[in-house]
Amino acid sequence: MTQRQTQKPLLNVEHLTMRFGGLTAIDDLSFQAESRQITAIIGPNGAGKTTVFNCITGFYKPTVGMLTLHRQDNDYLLERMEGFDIARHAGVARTFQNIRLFQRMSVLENLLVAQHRTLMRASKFSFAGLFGLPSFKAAEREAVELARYWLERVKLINRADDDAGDLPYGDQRRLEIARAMCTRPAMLCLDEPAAGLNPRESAELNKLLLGIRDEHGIGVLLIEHDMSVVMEISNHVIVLDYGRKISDGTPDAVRNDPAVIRAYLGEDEDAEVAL
Amino acid sequence: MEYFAQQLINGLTLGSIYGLIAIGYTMVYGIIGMINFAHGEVFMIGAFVALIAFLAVTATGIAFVPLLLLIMLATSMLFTAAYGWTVERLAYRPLRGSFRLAPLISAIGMSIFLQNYVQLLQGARVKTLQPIISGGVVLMEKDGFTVVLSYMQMLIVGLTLALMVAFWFMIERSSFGRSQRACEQDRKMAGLLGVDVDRTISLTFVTGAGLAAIAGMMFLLYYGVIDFFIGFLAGLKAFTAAVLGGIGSLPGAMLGGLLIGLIEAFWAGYFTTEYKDVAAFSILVLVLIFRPTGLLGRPEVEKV
Repeated sequence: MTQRQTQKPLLNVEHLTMRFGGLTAIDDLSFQAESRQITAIIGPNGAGKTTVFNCITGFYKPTVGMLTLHRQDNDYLLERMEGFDIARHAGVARTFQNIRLFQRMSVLENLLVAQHRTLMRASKFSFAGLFGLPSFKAAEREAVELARYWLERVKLINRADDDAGDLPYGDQRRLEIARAMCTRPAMLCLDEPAAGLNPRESAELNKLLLGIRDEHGIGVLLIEHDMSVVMEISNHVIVLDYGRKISDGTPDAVRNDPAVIRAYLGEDEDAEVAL
Repeated sequence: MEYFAQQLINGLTLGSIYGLIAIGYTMVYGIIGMINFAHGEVFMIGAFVALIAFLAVTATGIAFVPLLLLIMLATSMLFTAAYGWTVERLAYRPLRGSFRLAPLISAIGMSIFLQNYVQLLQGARVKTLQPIISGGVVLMEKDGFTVVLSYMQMLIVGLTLALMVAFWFMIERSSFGRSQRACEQDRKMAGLLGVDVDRTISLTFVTGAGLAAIAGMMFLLYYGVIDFFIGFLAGLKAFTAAVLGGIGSLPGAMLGGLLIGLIEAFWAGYFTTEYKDVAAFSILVLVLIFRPTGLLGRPEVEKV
């Protein structure tokens, strides 16, 4: 318990509420996500999972609530920051349900764009880069090195020079994760990374995510429908239904929670009558 | 044959100038999807700044031509780039996220404003410049007709080529170019990866204005006559060039510029000078009807 108090959670969501006109998409949601853990957010369609991500990454301004990200002894209040500031300073990277790679750029370039900030500083806004100054060359080499590392991790090193748009679907998904990791994030938000993957690809994804969690010490926040992924790799599962949290705990605890079963399978009306 | 060669040289020279302006249109369109109608005026300002720089430098007694040209070039690029940056900052950035027509109207307003601003400050009368570089190489001579490649034309085409190579290198290889292309494809995503989208857009305007400044200076040196209204027609022609080449495509802008220059030169040479603008703009109409994406443009294919 004392450990808990001295160590702030990576992400602390408190009383998050998001209303669109009369519709309440998220209703008073509080949860925490830790570093070196995979936190999964699950729930039926329309439960508000992606809306949570959009609030965390600055796409939406929450109606009510406080989102605190703790990174290197700094607290960032995400609800007050613009999207690109969240990416730059708070170190939140995300992927989307629908793939958003730069289709007409090469695989390698996609990963270099993600390191734009360090490169841009090193290149003195392109001038040094244009004249090939050594400081820029060193930074560029380092960026390519990091990109190469991630391409090897996601097994795309052989396709580095192909256009991202030409890759098969599963490869594009992995490339998106690699690109997000190239921003050197503190927290990685993945929106349905296993959607559309076959079982073999899905198993590979599990391995990759576990590797990211264990070797890079970052927190992973995951939205996923594929329960084999969720139950196998998450440390912590949060279940949403109609924008409200109905369960929160370890995969096993959540799996056996009657409220969760009810949300997924529906009420057993006969049983209620019988009671 | 001789006549043809001469018109070819003239057309290429003119086309280089159009091409440099067209790049500004096409880059801005690529990144924020709007036509910057004030770009022609930015070109005009480039010509004026070059002229002012020329007068200021000659007043100090420097008469060494390469140095003179270099100072004109640097001054014109610097000031014009500042204008490009300011136009974007004042007239377009506040309207980003507004409906699509808003920045377009704002651009037209900016164009009118800049014309009148220069007219007020510099007067409405044409300004002239004595030729700084004269002479040339006689390439062919036959029956009293000589084909001349002037030093001025060499400078224009040569400088344009050099700029194109440098610019291509910057877009394809540098970190700025990479982020520029990324913003072109998905601005929101680029922002989420830590690219400062606003700055990238600003830099796009700055580079576009820098190239337009060089075009303005070339125009001044080549024709020796400028006024506050030159930006209108040159801008429109360059816009046509950008559309002809495929708006959003950099090689397209250059190719379109050269083609428009050639069409104009040949039309003026073989038909009538009065109707050369009609020829250029007829091409615009035909391209829009038969090949709306332009020569090198990418058709929008939606994946279903």
